[in-house]
Amino acid sequence: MKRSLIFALPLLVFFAVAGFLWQALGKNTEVLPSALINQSFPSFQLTSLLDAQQIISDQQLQGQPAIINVWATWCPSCLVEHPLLNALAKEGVRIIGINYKDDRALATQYLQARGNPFAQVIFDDKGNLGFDLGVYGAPETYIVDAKGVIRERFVGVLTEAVWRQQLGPIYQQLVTATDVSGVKP
Amino acid sequence: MKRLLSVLLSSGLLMSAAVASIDAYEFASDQQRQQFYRVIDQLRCPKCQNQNIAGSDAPIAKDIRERTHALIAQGKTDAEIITFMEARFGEFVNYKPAFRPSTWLLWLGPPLLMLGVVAWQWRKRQVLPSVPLTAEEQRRLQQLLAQVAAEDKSA
Repeated sequence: MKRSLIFALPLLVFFAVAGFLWQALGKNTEVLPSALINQSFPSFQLTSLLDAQQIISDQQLQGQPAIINVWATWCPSCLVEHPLLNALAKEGVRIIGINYKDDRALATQYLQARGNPFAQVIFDDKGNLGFDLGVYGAPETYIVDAKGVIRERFVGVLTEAVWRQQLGPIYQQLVTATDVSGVKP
Repeated sequence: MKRLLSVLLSSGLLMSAAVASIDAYEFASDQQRQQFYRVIDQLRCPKCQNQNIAGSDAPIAKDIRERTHALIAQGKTDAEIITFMEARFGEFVNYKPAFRPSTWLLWLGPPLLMLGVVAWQWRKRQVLPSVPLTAEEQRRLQQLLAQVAAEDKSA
């Protein structure tokens, strides 16, 4: 009885290690769950990137669902996803940009050169809004519903596949729900 | 030789300084300074994982240090500052998460494993008490010995 137990030990260890690796390997540990899912978008009052006189606040986000995209000119991955943002904007997706820890002139030039997919661009040069959102690196993309509640967060480069499989369906569902309940800006 | 030694020693000293960047923070009291180092030691960097905020050079770590400094200047307690950071970056940033079902294994795993090993070793050390043979067993033993001796002789 004891003998057979000892022979079974390597097998047991194998299963324990296999089980552990099965669930741990291949998991992307860089992507953290957001602490703000199902919470209200943090309140803020910042200027518009393209008009230093215009103040944008969290209330202006409400009324219809929006994609919130955190970007900067110093962020190479933001360059990569920019064409997709342009394409989505053309399809009528409402995208709000947060220009994160950037230079106003550089960021303005960037949008002039590459097209501006954003309905509004919030100029967060100090990164305080980013901090309240828990942004730890650009690009990051959030989905906010018509009531200003954060529904989804995506860290990293937004690709066609990510949009189709993860973010797009949530956004579409929110748009449909908003149309039915009749909440309009 | 002496020179090499001093270089080695000083590089060792540099490495022991866990605060990666040289931000100059001013504090109203030594108590606040100690609180600052205590808190940034317990916070984990969300970007450069498996480093704490004290030891990381990532921009977000610098931001968190700055915010921690500002909150300490406002007289916030350790718990208040950590709750503030958790509200933004998730419980991930706290190296000492609260004790609840999803963290039971994390907290209790190592001590339980340790206890298990100690108990196992202790059991192994126990010497089994020797039991004298009964009269019947004694008789059988003699019989077997005689049998072996007889076989040896015949071989």
